[in-house]
Amino acid sequence: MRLVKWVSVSLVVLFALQVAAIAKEGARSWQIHNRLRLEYDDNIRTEMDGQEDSSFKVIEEVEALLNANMENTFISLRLRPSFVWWDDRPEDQSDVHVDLDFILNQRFNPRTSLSVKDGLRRAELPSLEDDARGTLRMDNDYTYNTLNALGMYKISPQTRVELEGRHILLRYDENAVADTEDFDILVGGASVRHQFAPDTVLGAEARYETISYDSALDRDSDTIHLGGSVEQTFSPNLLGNARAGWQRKEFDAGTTDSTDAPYGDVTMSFIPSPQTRMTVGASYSFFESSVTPFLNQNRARFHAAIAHDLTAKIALYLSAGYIMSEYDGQETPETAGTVTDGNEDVKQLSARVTYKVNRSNWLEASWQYTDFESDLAGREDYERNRFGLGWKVQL
Amino acid sequence: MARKLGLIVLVALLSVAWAAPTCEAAKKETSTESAAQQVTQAELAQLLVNVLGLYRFLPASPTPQECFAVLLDNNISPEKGWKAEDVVTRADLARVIVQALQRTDEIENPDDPKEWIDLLKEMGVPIDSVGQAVDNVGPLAEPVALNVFEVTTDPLKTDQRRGEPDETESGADAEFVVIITTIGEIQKIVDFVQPPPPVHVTPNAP
Repeated sequence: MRLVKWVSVSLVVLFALQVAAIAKEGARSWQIHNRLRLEYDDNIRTEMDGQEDSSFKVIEEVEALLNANMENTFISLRLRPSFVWWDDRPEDQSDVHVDLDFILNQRFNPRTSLSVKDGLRRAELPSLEDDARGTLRMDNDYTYNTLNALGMYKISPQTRVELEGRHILLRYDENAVADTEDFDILVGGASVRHQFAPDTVLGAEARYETISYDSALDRDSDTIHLGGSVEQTFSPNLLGNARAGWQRKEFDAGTTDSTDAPYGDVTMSFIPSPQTRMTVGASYSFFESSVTPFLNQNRARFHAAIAHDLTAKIALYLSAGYIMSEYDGQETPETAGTVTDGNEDVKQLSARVTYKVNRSNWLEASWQYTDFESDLAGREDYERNRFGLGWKVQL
Repeated sequence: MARKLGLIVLVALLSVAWAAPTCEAAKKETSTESAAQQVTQAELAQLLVNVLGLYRFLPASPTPQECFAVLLDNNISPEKGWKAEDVVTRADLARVIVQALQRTDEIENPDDPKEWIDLLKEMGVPIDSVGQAVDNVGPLAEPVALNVFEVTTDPLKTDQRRGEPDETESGADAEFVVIITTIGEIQKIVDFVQPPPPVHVTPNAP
């Protein structure tokens, strides 16, 4: 709560200054949105079929955006606290989450620039218990922060070089969870991009990633990525980009020393009509495992989304994601005994319809569906539906 | 840790608070300069993703095509589509500014460039320079962009977030689905064994 208080007080001070400045200048560089949703959740503890409990929820979300756009400097801040009240969750009836994003873009001259992005999340995911089955989820309250810093230099109008670093931090409050899940990830990378033709940009890239856990099970690893990329504008209404390469992951104390595999991703965006926008994508790569004690997962992802304006006031948004994860029993710490291979699949569907009442108010109806399947021992399959009605206002 | 993070946040907030009041004056000075300069569509797209609040959906220092893609997702495009090296015309600028202001529904004949320009005149939005025009655009209330389901494999961009709350995914809500194993689950997945005792080898051993 201490962090939340800091952020809250800072926000009040900041906006007091901003409102005064903006009133004086007659312009507006900030936005505040309030979003209130009433939701029905049919599986609040993500339990298997026949064990589910449902609840109504009230989700109150405030989003404050502030931009400062100068000739060579752009600074942006976004704060999004949200409060969730559960009608029928006896263990804990409320959650408070806070998201804070900070962006700084600085152009030193036409050739050189610096970008800094930081995303901080503080989330409350309290312990969940079932009378008959005991603890289903330990206290998962966490702090997550991701910080990127990128320096870009244009060698020529067609060619640019980028050097980028990233740090990701994850800290759980509950010691039993922190002991296995807390991590720090450091990534360093270099990219060269060259505009090969008016509609084609080719690139080469190298990444080095090191992950360190606090866990007594030594799950630390280092990964190298080497590859290339292409961006192609097929037509003004069809854009595509792809990356591909090879990656090698070395484990500090794994049953196997290392593993390597190709990686790749492709995304296409197209506009079939002035009212419709579509995006599809697919990828395959290593990804950090969220299942202890695995050191790695091979993950394939598929994604499709469509946004369609039914009328000038009514818009429909559909989005679908499918994730397939493979876990290799050999990619575990030596100190763990026999671990069998496993697979997990996640299917997500999401739909939302908005009605624009006027320039400041929107009404919405939404549905989210998640289907989780796992053949790892102890992991439960589940399905979850969330139906919501909401009102969003731009203040 | 929380105190350090809080301090970083406070410094960031106060930096913005210090910078923002001066930005309007700075922009007024530069707007007249940029009127005389030729601005490319790539530069215009970069400015727009900033002021529309779309930058947070993009990687640090996005490429022109990444900017174009997210602007297209939000129905913002010159009449003949985005072309990185083309110089922004008055008609293109009027069109994308009206779209960015979410006032497209007030255009009766989208093929008539004059109508886009006239609407901005009615609204009192100057388009003599790109800087002046963009000054009048604020963050989108209903942004459309890839976020949760994004398929990139780049470790500099992939998201490791876990659990609620919702993020918007191309205009719809979605959450990062990551399930943390409990200690009980870990014990079911693995069969912890003690490391074997060291083998003592004596000089007489064969």
